[in-house]
Amino acid sequence: MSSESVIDAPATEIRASRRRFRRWGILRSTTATVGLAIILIWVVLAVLAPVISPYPPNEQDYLAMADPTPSWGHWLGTDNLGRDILSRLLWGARTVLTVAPLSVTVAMIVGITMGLLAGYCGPIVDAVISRISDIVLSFPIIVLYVILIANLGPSILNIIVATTVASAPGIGRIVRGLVLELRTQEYVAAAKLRGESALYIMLVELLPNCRGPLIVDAALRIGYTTITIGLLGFIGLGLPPPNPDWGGMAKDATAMISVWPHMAMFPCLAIVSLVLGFNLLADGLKDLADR
Amino acid sequence: MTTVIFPSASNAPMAGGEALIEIRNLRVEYGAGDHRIVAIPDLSLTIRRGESYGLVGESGCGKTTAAMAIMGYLGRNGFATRGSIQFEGEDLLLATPARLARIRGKRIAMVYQEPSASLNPTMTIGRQLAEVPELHDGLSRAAATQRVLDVLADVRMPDPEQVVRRFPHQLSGGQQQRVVIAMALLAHPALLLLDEPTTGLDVTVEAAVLDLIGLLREKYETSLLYISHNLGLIATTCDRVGIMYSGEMVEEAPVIDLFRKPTHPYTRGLLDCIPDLASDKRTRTLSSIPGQFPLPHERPSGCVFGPRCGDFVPGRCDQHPVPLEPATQSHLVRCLRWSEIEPKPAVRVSTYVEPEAMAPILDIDRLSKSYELGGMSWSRNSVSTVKANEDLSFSVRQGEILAVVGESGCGKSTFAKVLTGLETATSGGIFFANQDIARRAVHQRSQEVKRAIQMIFQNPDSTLNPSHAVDFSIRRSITKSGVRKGAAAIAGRVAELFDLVRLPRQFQKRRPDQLSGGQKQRIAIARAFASEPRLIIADEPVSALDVSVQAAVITLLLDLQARDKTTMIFISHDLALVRHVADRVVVMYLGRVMEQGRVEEIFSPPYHPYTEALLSAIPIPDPTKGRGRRVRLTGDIPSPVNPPAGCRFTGRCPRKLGEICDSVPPPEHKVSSTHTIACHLPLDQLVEVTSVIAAE
Amino acid sequence: MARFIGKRLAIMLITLVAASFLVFAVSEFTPGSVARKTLGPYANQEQVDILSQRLRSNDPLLIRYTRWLGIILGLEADPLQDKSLGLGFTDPRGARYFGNLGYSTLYKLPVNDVIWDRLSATGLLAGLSFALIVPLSLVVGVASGVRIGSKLDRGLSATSIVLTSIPEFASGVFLTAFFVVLLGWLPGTSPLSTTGGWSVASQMVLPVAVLVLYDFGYVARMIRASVAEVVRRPYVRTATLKGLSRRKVIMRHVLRNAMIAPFTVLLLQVNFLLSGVVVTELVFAYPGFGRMLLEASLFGDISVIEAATLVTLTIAILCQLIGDLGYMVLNPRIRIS
Repeated sequence: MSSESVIDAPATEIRASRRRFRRWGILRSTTATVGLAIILIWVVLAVLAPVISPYPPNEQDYLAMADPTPSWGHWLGTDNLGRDILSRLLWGARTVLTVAPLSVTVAMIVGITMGLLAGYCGPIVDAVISRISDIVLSFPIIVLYVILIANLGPSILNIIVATTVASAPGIGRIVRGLVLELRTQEYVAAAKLRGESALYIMLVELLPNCRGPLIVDAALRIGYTTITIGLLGFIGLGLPPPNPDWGGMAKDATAMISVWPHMAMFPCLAIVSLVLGFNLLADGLKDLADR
Repeated sequence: MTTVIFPSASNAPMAGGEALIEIRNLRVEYGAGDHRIVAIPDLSLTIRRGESYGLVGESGCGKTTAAMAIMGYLGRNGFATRGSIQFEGEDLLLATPARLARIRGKRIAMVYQEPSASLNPTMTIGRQLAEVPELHDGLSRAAATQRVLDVLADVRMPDPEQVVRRFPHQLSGGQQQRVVIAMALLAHPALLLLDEPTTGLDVTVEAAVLDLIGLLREKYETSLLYISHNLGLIATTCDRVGIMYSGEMVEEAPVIDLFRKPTHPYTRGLLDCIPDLASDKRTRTLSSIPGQFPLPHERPSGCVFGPRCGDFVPGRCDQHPVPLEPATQSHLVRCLRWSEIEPKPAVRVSTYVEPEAMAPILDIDRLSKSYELGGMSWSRNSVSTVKANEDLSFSVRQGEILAVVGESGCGKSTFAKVLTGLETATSGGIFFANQDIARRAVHQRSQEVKRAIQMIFQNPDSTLNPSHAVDFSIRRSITKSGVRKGAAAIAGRVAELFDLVRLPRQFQKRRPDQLSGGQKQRIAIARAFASEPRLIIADEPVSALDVSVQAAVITLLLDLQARDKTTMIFISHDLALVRHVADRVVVMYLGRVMEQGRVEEIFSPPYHPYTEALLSAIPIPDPTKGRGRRVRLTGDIPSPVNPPAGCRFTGRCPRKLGEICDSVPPPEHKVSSTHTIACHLPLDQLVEVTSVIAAE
Repeated sequence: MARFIGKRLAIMLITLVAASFLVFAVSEFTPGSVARKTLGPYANQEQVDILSQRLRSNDPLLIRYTRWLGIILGLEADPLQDKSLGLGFTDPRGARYFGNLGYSTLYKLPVNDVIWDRLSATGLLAGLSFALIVPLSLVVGVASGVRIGSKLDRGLSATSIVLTSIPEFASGVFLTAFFVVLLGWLPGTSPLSTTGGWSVASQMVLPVAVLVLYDFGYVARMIRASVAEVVRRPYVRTATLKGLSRRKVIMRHVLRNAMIAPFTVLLLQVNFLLSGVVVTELVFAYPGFGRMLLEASLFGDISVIEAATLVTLTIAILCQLIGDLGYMVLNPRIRIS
C-alpha cells in the first residue's frame, strides 16, 4: 500500500514519514546479527590471543605427544609435534583476520576503479577493461592463485597481490553493471548540466549508490578469501612459519587423520565458523537491502 | 487505414437490471499483529449486468486493492477480514483456490496497467493467448488458436497470423495492450476489471483503445469495472462513477449527475484542479487541495477528508465516521454537510501576471539530430538511421512559455537533450546569447551559458540522488554557477529557494525517500532556478504526479516563471495542460515540426491533420458537453528508424492527399504571422475544417 | 548468427593467446628458470647454463612464446626432446608433431600421455557431481524461491549458507573422519585402482559428496534468487489471474524465465566450480587433472603447467561461449531484435 503524500501550496501539516523499526540498523536482521556476533567473537579472541592463549603457539609439549587428544591441560589437544591446538588457533586467527580483510580492501579499491571507469568512460575504455577482466577471469581461481604464489613465493604481500588479481575483475563487473544502470538516472544528467567533471560524477554521484551490493559482496569475499588462505595452507603454499596457519595445520594433520582426527578437524572447524560468520552477515545485509 | 469521423453521442447501452457483482462492507487489511494496516475500512459497491462502472481516485486510495480483492489476489500479507463479494451466487471471499482458478479468466478477467510487463517475454503471443480457451473451454490446440485469431481480429490487431508467432517485445505498446485485452476477453467473461489500462500509452493510441473497449463491451456484453485516476477518461467511458478517498467511497453517482452536480468537497476539488480546453493561465488558476493524504494508520476520526476540506466544521465533521447517504436516489455522498454547502461556481480567477513579450532569446535554425544504429543486429549488416530531429526551426522570446507537444518518438526528448548539451546536434544551429551552441556539449560551453540553461526532469524518483540530502544538488548548482560565493551567501540562497517553492526549511537535510513525489519535484524546480537561469526546459515536469499535486506544482512553476521572467520550454504530451500553460506551441511528429503558433491558434482551426487528431483524442472530464468530432488514427506510431521521405505523418493521416504526401516534404503555410502549418493540403481547405473541440 | 559466433570465436582466440602468454611469461620469466626447473635443484650451474643456451633462453619472451606455440602446432621440434641432450625425454610420437605438448619432468612421460587420462578422470568426477547437483538444486531452488520467507525457504536457505561455508578440504576432512576412520565404510583415498581392495565406485563416493555439498548450496541459492525475482513479475500475476493452477504457472511461466539467469551465470562461473574439483582431487589423492596441475606447479614442471593451463583456459572460454549462446537462445528479446 503506497501512501503518496500530497503537498499543497501553503503547507499546513507536514509530517516526516516515520520509519518504525523495533531494532536499529543491522540488528534488524537476525541473520546478520548472528554473523556479526561470530565475527566479533573471533576478532576479540584474536586481539586477546597474546593474553589468553594458554601456551606459546610453537612450544612443543613432549609429554603430550604421547596422547595428544583433548585433555585438561590442552583443551583442544595438541598436534603431532605437541603444540597446543587452541593456542595455535588463537594465534592463527590474528593472521587470517588481518590478511583476509586487507586483501579484500585492496581488491575492492582496484575493482571499484576498474568498474567505474569501464561503466562511465565510454565504450573503448569499457572494451579494454572488460577484455582484461575476461582474461583474468578465464582462469579457475585456484589455478591463478597457485601459479602466482608458486612463482612469487608465499608471503602476505603476495597473497594480497594474488587476491587482488583474482577478485578485482569480479568486483569490477559488479560496479560496471551498477554504473551502466545508474548513469541514466536524471540526477546524473542534472550533475552534468551544472558542469560537474566526470571524476566528480563517478565518485560523488554514482559510487555512493553502489554501497549496498558492494558491502554484501565484500562480506562474501572476505569469507571466500579466508577459505582461499586456508586452502593455500592446505596445499602447502601457506604462509611460512612461525605464523600458525589454519590451513597448514589441517594439512599437517591429514597424515594423522586415521589415528588422531581431531588434529585436522579443529582447524577446519575454525575456518568453517569464521566463514559462516561472514556468509551470514552477507546474507543478512542482502536481505536488509531488499526490504 | 480508414478514419472514423462521426459526431458522437453517448451510445452506452442503458444499464439497469440485476446486479452482477455486489461488494458488501468489504474490509481489507495488510500485515499482521501490531503492524496491521487497514487499506479499505468499509466498501460497498454494486455493478449491474452490462454496466460500466468507473472507480476513481488518486494513488493509494485503494482502488487497485478493491480489484485485487475481487480477484482474490491480495498477496501473502493481505486479508479481507470482513464483508462479502457476491458474484453469480457465491461469495468470492470464501472461494477455495480451486474455485477461484475456475472463475479467474473465465468469469472475471483483468486488463493491466503495464502491458509490456504483463506478458511473458519468453512465450509467443499465440501460446499465451491460447492458454485461456484451452484451459477454460477445453479446446484443442488448433481450435484454441482459431479462437485466438478471431479475438485478435476483434481487437483490431493488424495481421493476426503474424502476431501470434511473435514475442511481446516485438509489438508496440498499443499492440501489447490489445493483446492483454484479447487475453481477457477470450473466455467471454461476465466482468472485466481494467486497471488504468491506458496509462503509458500515447494519446492517439489511448483514444483508439478506449473506442475499442467501448465496442467490445457491446459485442461481448461484458460489465466493466474501470479503474483510473483520470476523470476525463471516466467521463467518456463509464455509466456510473465511484470516487474513492483513502480507502473509502466518498461519492457515487451516474456519470452525468456526478459531473453536473459534484457534491462531495473532494470531488469538487478534483474537478477544480484539472485544466480544461476553454481557459488558460490568464483566466484561471488551477486550484489544489490543501493538506496531505492520510497514511492508513493516521486516518482521522470522523470524516476522512475533513482535515483538508474547505467546508470543515470542527465539532461536527470530526466526531463520528460519516455514513454514505443518498443525495438523490442514485447519487450517494459521504458528507454531513452536503446539503448545506453551496455549489460554488468554479472559481475562475487567475493570479498569473503576464510578463511583457520581449526579444527572441533562443533561435533554433534547421536543427537536426540523427543516430546511427548499426552493428547491433545479428542478422543485418545495414546501418539504420534514426532521424530523431529533423529541420526544427522556431524561436522563443524571452519571458514566454513555449510548449513542445508530441507523442512518443516525436523527438521532443532528443530536442531537450541537444538544447541542454547532453547531446550535440548533427546539423543546424541553436543561437543563444549570441553563440551557436548546437554542436557544443555541456562541458564545452561557457560558464555563462551553462548557468543560463537549466532543466527540470520528469521523474521525481530519479531526479534526486538517493544517497545525498535534498539540498545537496542545489548547493552544488549555486557553487558551480558562481551565482553566490561564500558559505553564508550560499546558505542564504538555499533558504530563499526553499521558501520560493514553499517547502519548510527543515526539509533541507532530508533524504529523498522521506519526501513525496510532489515535494521532490519542488526541489527539482528549486534546483533549476538556483543559478538564476534565463532559460528553463521543463521535460514533462508533472506527468508522474497525482492530479491534485500537479495543479499545485504547475501553479508554482508559473508563478516563479512570471516573477523572474524566465523563458520556459515546456515539453508535454498532456494537451489540456499545455492549453493552460503555454503561450506558444510547437507540434512535433516523428522528428519534424507539423505546426507551430500561438496557443489559441493551435487549439482552434485551421489545424494540421495531426493536431486535429490529437485534439480530438483528449478525454474531456465533462460528459454533459456533446462530444466534439471524433477523429481517430489507425495503427500505432511508427518507429523513427528510416522514416518516409515525404511528410512524416503520411502513414496515418486521415486527410492524406495522395502520392505526393509520401514523396515530397510538405510546404509550410503561413496562416498568420505567428502560425504555420506544414501540409500538402491547400490552405483554404484547412481553414474550412470545423473545430474538433465541443463548444462551451 | 554466424557473424556473432565468428566474432565470439575471434575474441576467444585473443583471450586464449593473451592468457596463455601471461602464464608463459610468469613461468619462464627468468631466462635460466626453464633450464633450472628442467634439471632440478641438484644440477650444477654449468649444466644449467649449457642447457639454457641450447634452449635459446636468452631470446626475448615474445620469441620464446611463439616458439612454444610453434612446437604445439607441430611446426618445430621440441628442443628438450633432442636426443643429444641426453636428458632421456623420449616421445614415441617423435619430437615434432601437431599437438606436442612437451615432456613432463615430474612424471617422466610425454605430457600427452599424462594429461588426457587425467582430464577424463576429472571429467568423470565433475560429470557425476553435476549430474547430482543440477536436479537437486533445481528442486530446492524452485521450491524455496516460490515461497520466500516460508519455513521451508528459511530452512533451505540456512542449510545452503552453512554448506557454502564449508570448503571442500574441510568437508573432506569431516567426511573422512566420519566415514573412513569412524565407520570404515569408505576408502580414505581414491586412486582409482582396485589394488587396495575398494571398488572404484566406493572410491568415487566421498569426492563426489564433497563437491556436491559445496556447489549444491551455491547453485541452489542462485536459482532461488532468480525464481524469487521472476515470481514477483507482473506476467506471473497475469498467468495466475488467467486461472492457471499454481503448478502450471510455475512450470510454464516461471521456470523458463527463471532459468535464464542462473544458466548463463553458472556457465560463466565454471571456473569457480572447477576450483572445487581441484581441491577435492587433492584431498582424496584422486588422479585427476587438477591434482596434476597442482603437483606440477609445486614441482616446477613447466611443460605440464603450460599445457594444462592452455587446456583449462580453452575449456573455460568454451563454457563462456556456450553461456553466451545459451543466453541468446533462451532469451527471445536478444535473439530477435
